[in-house]
Amino acid sequence: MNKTKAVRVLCAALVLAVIALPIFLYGGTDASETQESAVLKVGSSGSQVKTLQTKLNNWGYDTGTVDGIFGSKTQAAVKRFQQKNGLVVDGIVGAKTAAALGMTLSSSSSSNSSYSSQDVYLLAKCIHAEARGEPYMGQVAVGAVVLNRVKSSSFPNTISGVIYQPYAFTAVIDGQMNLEPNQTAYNAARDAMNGWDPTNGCIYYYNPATATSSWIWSRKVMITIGKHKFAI
Amino acid sequence: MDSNTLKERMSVKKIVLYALIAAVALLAIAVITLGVLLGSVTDDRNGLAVNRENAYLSSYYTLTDSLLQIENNLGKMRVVRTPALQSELLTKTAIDAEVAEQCLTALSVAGADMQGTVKFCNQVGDYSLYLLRKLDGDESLSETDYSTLSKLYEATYSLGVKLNSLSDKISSGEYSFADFGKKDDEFASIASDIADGAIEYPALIYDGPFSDGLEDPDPVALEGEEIDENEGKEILKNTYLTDYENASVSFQGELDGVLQCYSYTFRSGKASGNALLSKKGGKLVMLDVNDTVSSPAFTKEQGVELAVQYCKKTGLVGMKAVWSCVTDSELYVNLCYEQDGIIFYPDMVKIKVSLETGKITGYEGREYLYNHTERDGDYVVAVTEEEALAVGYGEMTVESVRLAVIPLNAGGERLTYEVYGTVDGYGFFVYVDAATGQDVRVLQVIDSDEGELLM
Repeated sequence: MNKTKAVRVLCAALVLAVIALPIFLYGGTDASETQESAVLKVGSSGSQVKTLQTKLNNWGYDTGTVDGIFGSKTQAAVKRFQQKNGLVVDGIVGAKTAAALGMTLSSSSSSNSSYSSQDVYLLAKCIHAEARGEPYMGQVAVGAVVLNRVKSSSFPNTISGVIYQPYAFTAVIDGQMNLEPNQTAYNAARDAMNGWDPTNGCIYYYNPATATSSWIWSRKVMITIGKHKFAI
Repeated sequence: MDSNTLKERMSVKKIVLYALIAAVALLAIAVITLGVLLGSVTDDRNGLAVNRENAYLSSYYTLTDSLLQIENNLGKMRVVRTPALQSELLTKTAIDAEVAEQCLTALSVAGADMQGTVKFCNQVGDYSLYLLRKLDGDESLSETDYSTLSKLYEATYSLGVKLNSLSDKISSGEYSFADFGKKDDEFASIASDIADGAIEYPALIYDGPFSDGLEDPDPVALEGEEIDENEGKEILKNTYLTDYENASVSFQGELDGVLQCYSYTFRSGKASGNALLSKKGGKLVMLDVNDTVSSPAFTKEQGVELAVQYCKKTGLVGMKAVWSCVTDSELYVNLCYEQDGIIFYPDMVKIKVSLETGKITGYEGREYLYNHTERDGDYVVAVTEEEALAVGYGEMTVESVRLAVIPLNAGGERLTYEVYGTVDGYGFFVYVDAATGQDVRVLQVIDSDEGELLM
């Protein structure tokens, strides 16, 4: 008898859990969304509201004067914008509405990174994603290749241009680029930015074990560091 | 059958029933959830697809526009011979080439070799800038320059014609970027034409920093006999790694190139690093130790002095620290050769010092090895310091002036007055040609968390 009760309770719990699961899933997403980013709504004010009003006005959603104060007119304009764009019509600018408007809502706390230079950060990300298991010299070398490309006539003339050039780095394609770089990657990026180049001006590298392009084998290899062959 | 067995059977039935109910509920909820999810995914997808198509179209039209502008500018260059108008056309070309390159990048697809077209745009822009610098230096363009420009015009024109026919297809709805990325995509095939050689353009050989075919110069500072890898080990230990007691050095391989090197790794206690030594003369080319410093024991000034001493110990004469920055208690110092009171920026070494241990953790000496010679001091100083200052520097309050030789983008070097000053607390370096009194370059000092960076 006890056994039967236990099974009954178990089944009921299972059913409940199954019913509750999607609710948690949805609820969870909403909660994390509001936690992560700021929200603009009636009562908000400041430069972000000004940007919002300017954008809405430019696209023909009348918010009244652009005064940086989120009032009822701005709310009505936001609602019309949301309706037209298939968003939840609540008159509140959250992450989704902001994205549709082409805005990024920042919370008040700024980045706590001590690295102010965007280029060092980008380079460190690229090094970390492409070569985090490699010896330190190999990491500096990957940074140097990016910078040698910036100087080369065959590649874009900026660090971001080179790193985000389509199909240039596998780590950018598969999303590993979005990992946060560690201290070693930062050190390597700074060395490369300051002119350290273990490759003597190479603009390519590949891992012979995983390289899929047959063309890359035709490049002249200058040095092998860790798993990577560096070539011109 | 006794009553107990019956009860047991009933309870088994109940279990099966509950399990069934649970399974059906699970299935129903799964179906509903999936439906809701799919619905929103489809909505999102439709929105995304429209956005994507719009983004591609925007890039495409901007690309064709900028290529047309380049074509017009280069076409006009065939008839214009006044430097002022030429400068204007070349500036426009450089800007349009940059825009075209950005658009091509946004339109890149897997499998299509568009690298050639990206390179083409990049070179058209770089070549225009090179010619602009020539005009700025009061040089006129040569017949070769004009003929190269004409050929670039023709290549741009051919590319334009092909894209025009695609534009017609887009207008009539025959082509859409919805299927963009498929193997036989028409746009990708047009953009591959330059790499395939279907559209020809001349190899651009010129003295610019972005030129094809420009060989690295010989490292003029390298003298002496070629050493072998074992001699190299000893030189490293006895001359360059004296900060690292009982360093165990192991040979890794050779580095090819104009500046041929031996590559080594070394270890001493907890520290480990890499070094490159030139085959010829056994000079240190590069040294690098990955060091995480926790508690600095040395000041920046002491660190700079350690770098100066390292130069002296390793045989570099007359080196003066010109720039430094501290990051995470690691100090980077740039040192330049000084002769007759003139700073030689081309003869530069970069040194990294740990402010915790006071050890040299990095060295980069390539520029020095490529450029350093003892100069004959035969420089033309036609402009006096007073005259250089009298030129006027806008809002800048001048704080110091000294003579400095700087490398030129197009190769070679020039003697200048290095005029340092500030505007609203921001530092600027202006370099004035000591022979002509013309400004050659302006650098701004950026105060960042990283220290003082020269840009």
